[in-house]
Amino acid sequence: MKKLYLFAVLMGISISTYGQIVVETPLSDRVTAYTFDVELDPEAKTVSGIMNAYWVNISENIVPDIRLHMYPNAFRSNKSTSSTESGRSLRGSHEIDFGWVDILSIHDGKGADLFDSMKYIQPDDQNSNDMTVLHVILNEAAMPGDTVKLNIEFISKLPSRIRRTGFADDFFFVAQWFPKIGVYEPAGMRYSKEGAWNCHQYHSIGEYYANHSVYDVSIIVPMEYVTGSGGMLISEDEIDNGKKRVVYRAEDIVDFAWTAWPDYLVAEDEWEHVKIRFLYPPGREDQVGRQLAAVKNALEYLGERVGPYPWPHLTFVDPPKKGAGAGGMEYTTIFTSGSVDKIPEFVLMPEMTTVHEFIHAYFMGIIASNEFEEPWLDEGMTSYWEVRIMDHYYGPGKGIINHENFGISDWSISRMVYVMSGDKKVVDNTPYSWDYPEGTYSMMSYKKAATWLLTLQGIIGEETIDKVFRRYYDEWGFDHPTRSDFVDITNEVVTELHGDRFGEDMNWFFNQTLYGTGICDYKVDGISNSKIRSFKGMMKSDTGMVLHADLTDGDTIFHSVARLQRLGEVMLPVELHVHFESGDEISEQWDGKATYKDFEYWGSDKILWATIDPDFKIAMDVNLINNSYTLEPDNVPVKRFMRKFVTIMQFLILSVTF
Amino acid sequence: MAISLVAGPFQRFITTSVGNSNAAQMIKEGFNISFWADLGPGLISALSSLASGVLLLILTLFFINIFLTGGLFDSLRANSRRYMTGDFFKSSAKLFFAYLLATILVLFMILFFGGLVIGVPIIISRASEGDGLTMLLKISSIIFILSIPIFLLIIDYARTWLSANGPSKVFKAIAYGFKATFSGFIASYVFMVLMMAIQGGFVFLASKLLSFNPETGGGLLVLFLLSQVLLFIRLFLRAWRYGGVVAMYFT
Repeated sequence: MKKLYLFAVLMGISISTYGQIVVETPLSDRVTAYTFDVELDPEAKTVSGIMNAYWVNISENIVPDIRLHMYPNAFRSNKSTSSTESGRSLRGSHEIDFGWVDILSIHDGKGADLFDSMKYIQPDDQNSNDMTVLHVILNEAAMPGDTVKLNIEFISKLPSRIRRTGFADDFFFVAQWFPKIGVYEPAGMRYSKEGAWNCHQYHSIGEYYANHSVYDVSIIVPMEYVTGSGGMLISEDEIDNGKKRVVYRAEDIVDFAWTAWPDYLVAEDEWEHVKIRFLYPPGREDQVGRQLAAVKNALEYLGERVGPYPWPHLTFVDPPKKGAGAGGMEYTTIFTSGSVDKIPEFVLMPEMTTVHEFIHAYFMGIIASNEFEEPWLDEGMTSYWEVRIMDHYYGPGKGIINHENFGISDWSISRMVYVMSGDKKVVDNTPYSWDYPEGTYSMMSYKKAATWLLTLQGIIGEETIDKVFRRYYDEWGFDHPTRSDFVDITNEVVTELHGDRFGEDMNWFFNQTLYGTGICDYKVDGISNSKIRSFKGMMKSDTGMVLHADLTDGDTIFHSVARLQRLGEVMLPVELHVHFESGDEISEQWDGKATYKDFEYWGSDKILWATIDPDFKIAMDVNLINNSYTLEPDNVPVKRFMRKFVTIMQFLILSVTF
Repeated sequence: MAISLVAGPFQRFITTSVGNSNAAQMIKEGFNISFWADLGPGLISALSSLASGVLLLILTLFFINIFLTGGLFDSLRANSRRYMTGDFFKSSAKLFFAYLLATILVLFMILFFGGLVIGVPIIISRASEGDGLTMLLKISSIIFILSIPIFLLIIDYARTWLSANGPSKVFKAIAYGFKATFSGFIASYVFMVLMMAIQGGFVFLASKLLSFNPETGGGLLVLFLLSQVLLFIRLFLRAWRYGGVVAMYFT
């Protein structure tokens, strides 16, 4: 009887996935959809219940199988691919430390039992101990246009010591928690030459890839729990035994995560059409305004420059200290920030995390690139926009630390991680996330990509790059682009706006940055001012004109040279700023291709100093110190810094010797 | 002077790295992380040398301070008789080990007490959430700060006792330090708090001085001289503190 009731409820919900509740019209193709009727058992740390899902075969192929991500099995043993890659021992001596998902029954839409046709496969590494991808042979192959329905009874045990998903005492962050359908890529989609499932194993490094889906989720939790999710709250009703049923619906998102904790405090706000819900722990009341302002800043900035945030709801969570492992992660319409109690107002780490994770609603949420295979498309682009938003709203030079006497910009931090890395020439930006050489994933995917995107902005201009991203959003929103698609759009927009000013296309840039391993380093090698005592013949004036000259001993003419050098492999156009003794200044352009270039001047003026890239447009120049040369070095700032250092040390030493 | 010996090579590292570049202008307005990042891998070695040098310097000055304190206390105690430079160093040498042991003992007491009143709440706070523990930590920190004058009184009385009674009985001197501190507690404590408050005032002045950003060599000289004046005033205040305790000891 209970099963019959459940079936009726699920069928009802299932039908509703075709309707519109959250957004006015479907934003995506909705190749997949899910309905859940599950219960959280806070004692056993499990989520169990029924999932009804469908997948539409939009290809022209006959597809005999289906592949499911079984992400929680990454925590099933210390021999899973994720564990072995990370070197984690999953050293829990108690069963409760592990996590897994088990399918108890699986049927297709016609009621055929598929349980015996399930098999775990390991498409990435053939590690037979890894159970994160399930291959299911369908009872009837899916013909083009067919909808494959699945009815799955499952139980997910959440892992402790939260790594994105899991529990800590009575705190639950439930992510990657259900059997999730992979992405079937028909021929021509992304890199697919023939139709095939794209369903990678769970790796210790990297994130996910999924279709935009509709989620109808009914969750039973104890009455005292406060919940939040990536869906819009439809209802919250008390049922028997001190429990309640919360029903959420989400449309056109790539993942559904939710959280439950009795101690959550809730703040609500609105930005234009978006209702914002912020869940935070006691003790961080003073940060509510900061966090809400940060997310509204990001909504405004991206809305104006990239495209509108299409959903009317947004939830974000600042996990408590014990659940910090859930922090700093994105699931489109719900994301987790990260903070600590009593963090000073001038330290903008909570704002930075909030802005970063929100931006992912665009880069992988709306524009659903494959995070497994091209992590820079989400992390690099997100880091790039994070730099822009933080430095825009919190002040240039103040995007991370905003103290009245001291500031650090997000631009500097982003660039510094790349510049200071000893591995910046090891690999380009194309490997799969888990294939990056040890220790280079974050630097390459986040920081190098952000740094060369900032450089691209410096070259083509802010207005142009905004148009590139706007078109990227318009053309690839609710779809699955590749890096080539971004490159193509950049080429289109730059050509439309600038003609051949930057060449036939911008491939020369991407070949050196996205596909290249070289570094960029330009240097002003030196300045010389040679006095010419007597001369007869042709010479160039200050303005480059060729003149007849007939100098006598009484004339004072200088042949001045500023020599520029390219030390790195990357060749970018650079600007040179030349300052003369008289106060005159000249700006020059250099294509940056030769290994050196002399800028020569004849006239009565001497060059005093010269600076390459005075506006710091070439963020990926790995050494800004050698970008200038002066005949009158001013060491006062260095001396002043050291004097202050000495004074501080004197007072410190006096204090520790009592 | 000594700290300049340690800081000098670091300054030379920076000026050499900057060379004829205009890059020093990047730190004109204050800290600029890009400037430091671009100094290259040599910065790590330079910072490491600087840190080692500073640590070594702190240890050296710690010992020198203990050495000189012996002579200072003895000279303050003997202010009624003629006191020669030779007497000063003789006392310094005589009292050195006793003062060293007493200082280390009191240092351990401070660390132990600090660990007790601040460390324990921190350990508790790891298991809990909320404002209650933050408040507890604040209260603990205030208690710790208020206890510092007591420890200073104990060491100063103990040092005076050692100077008057010879260096052989350090533990007895510490016991006397406790006794003297708490027998005339209010007067002693108020005196020490006053001394610390005046010292704090000069630290505040120094912090204000550090926000001064001279643009020329002359301005730098003024900054240097002012900072040294403040330093000498602090040294004088310390001597005043010692003298005050010695005076209280004999009254």
